[in-house]
Amino acid sequence: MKTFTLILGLFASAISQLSAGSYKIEAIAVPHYVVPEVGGLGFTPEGELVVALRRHGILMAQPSEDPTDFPWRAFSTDSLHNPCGIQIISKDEIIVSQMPELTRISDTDGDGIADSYENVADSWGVSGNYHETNALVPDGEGGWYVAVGTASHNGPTFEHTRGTFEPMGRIGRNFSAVPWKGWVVHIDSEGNSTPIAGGFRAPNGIAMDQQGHIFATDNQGDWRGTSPLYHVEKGNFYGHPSSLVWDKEFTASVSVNPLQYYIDDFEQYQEDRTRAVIEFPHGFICNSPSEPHFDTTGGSFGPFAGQAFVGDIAGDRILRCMIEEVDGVLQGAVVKFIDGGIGGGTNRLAFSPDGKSLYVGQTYRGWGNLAEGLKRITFTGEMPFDLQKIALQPDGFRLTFTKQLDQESAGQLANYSAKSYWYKSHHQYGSPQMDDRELPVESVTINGNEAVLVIPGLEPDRIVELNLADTLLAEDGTPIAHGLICYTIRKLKP
Amino acid sequence: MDRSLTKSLFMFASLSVTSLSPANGDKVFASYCASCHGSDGAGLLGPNLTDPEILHGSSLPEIKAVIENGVPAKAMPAWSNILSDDEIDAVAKHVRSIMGTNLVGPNQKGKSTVTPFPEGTLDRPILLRTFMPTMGLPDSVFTHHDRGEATPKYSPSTGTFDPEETDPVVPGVPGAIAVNFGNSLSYCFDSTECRLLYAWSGPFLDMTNYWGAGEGGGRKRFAYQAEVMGPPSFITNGPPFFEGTPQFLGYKKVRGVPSFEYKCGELEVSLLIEPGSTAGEVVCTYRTNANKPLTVPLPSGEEFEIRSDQGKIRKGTLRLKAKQAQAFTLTITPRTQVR
Repeated sequence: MKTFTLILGLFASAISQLSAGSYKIEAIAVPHYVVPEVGGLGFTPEGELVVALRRHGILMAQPSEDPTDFPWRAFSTDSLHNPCGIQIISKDEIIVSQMPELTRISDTDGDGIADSYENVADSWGVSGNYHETNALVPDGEGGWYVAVGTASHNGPTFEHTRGTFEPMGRIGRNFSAVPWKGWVVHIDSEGNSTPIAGGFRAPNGIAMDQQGHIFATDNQGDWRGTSPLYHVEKGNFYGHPSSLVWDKEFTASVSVNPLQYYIDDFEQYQEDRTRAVIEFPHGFICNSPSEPHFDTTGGSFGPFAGQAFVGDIAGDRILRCMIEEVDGVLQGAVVKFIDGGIGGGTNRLAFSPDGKSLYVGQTYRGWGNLAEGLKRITFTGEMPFDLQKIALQPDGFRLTFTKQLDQESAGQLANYSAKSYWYKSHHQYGSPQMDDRELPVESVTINGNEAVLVIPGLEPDRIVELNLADTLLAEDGTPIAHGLICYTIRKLKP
Repeated sequence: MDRSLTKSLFMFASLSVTSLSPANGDKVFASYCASCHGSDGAGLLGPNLTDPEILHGSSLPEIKAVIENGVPAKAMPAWSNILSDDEIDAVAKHVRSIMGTNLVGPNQKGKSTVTPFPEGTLDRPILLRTFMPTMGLPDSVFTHHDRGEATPKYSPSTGTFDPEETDPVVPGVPGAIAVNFGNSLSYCFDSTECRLLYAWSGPFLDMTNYWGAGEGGGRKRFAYQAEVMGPPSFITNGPPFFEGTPQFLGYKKVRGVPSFEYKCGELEVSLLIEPGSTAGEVVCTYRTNANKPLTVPLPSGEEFEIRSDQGKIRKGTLRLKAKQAQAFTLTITPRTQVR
């Protein structure tokens, strides 16, 4: 068997060499009888990795340094129905959101194998459509927020549905034929459900930052010009109309057919919808964002503490989001964190207990190119040269870098360019870049690890794309790792 | 990685490399693949290649692509720099030739979900929550479901509706739980109606519609619905057993066998469903908190017979005294011997 181990070890290190310097990427081997379609990922308080799979229940393993030698065990071999959200309370108790319900899975007799599957809540319906996925985040008070996805016209609905069937919700490309599809639903510790905000399309990821703000990503498509990251607040409408059939106030006082209402009145639509904190330009930044995952490692994973990482189901990359509050709203910028080398399908993320590694669960579930598995990204301790922070200014941006800047290259205006555009969210699928305009970078002032760019003519409800040339260097000569920065302006800096 | 280094490492790993005729896929397999997939292909560190369907695609082009490009996440090497095109072609054909021989690999413990044909055993039944077919269940069984309906077909590009064409509804059970005890018994329980819907013996499910059998488009189909593989031994009908809106509470495992917990009004029920003495026979053990007599309307049909160890069955209705209603067992036996 030693020979086999040798081969596997060689391949693991071959993969890690693809990722340079600051972060090492390793593929984690899973048991050969398992398809690693990862829907949920996390750690027990004891440090065991927990992986919820689409077909094969829930696996656990205490991670070893050797990525090919995890001592896997099965906590559950029940095939849950598309488990997409997980909260790990202990090695004996795990909460999973699956298609028909929120389920508490427990090992009550201490043999390491789950024997109780309690239905905590099933307040949403099930129409019989594969696309209705449910992601969760704990509310910090013993309850949960569940982001309930809409159905897709690429699948059917059933003759007999769980929950009320609403024909006005069934119409459309992505649709909400049964209750609470396209809503974020709060479930308290007793299992009581309260829908808090509608208008979601395919929110494959919901998270809370350290200040208690709730964020959800959503996926480009109908009523999504490009993929957004939203700040979820009670009572807001997040732009996909179909779910409003379940809003009694809307159907009573505005329209019983929200889809048609907003097709007919785009101006009203623009007024009613809540804008994204960050929009991820489709194609070159992200195709299908998954779970936002905040860096709670306090620096163990590198210089990005407090920021959110977001995977791409349909792209070989992981994004990094820098969020700030401007004039009362949250907004910010996205850059790439890993650009190639991680593979596609990144669906779920989890930090190891020591904070040094980010575990990556991948799946494509019939969407995108085949990409499934489990990976591990480890901070080597070598500081990358990257954008660490961005702050909107009344007439430009203040950029803070992870390293001291090289005065000469950083002072050259030719190393900076900027443009702005917007994406039209409407009934059509996706959107081209609208009104693409070059923006002048008038001056740059360097101070240590900061660069202040003066860019006149910034406007709200647009994305500013900054491009830093790879000739922009740190003081130690390192070129900038990721120079493409997209800042979504909701509000101008007063 | 340096190509010659890689090749020499692989030669080292494979111990003996002789000159290989391109046509001899079995020899290429023995030299390069057997160390991970086993000499007969039934799996070792790598997956079992003798299943009817294999993980990354079962067609010849899919197999060749996997051999050429590898699957880094699963530590399957890319062989395009090591084997010639002819050797890859030959070994891919060899893999095709052993597929479906269904050998049991040395490491194969419990069920394998790498194929879309999951299997449980009497000792270790397997439970799947998925969309299940209705198998012709009468509408009356779906008392606590709503009725879906066809809606006008929509064009997202124009934002308009087709005056005639509709998006139809299809039969299916949205909240199904399927359980398999090997060939002796499989059944479908519904977590919405909280009742046993149907049972069968023989092979369990073909999950290809949902799990897929290979890469790309083959991995999903419109309905995403499991297909029942064995002939049904029981399909329920008639009104619900108990009055009141059912509320599914979950299930517990009793020696690995699921026991469904639910409420109908004030009545708390647990239902353990197990195989009987013959193929397709279903033994349903009910425990309730009944404090008054119960009348249970039983499904009727020529294809099966239902017996109760408690109470009396008259005109298709089981009458139980309060004490009897707290613990009773129904045995559903197919009238025709099921294969």
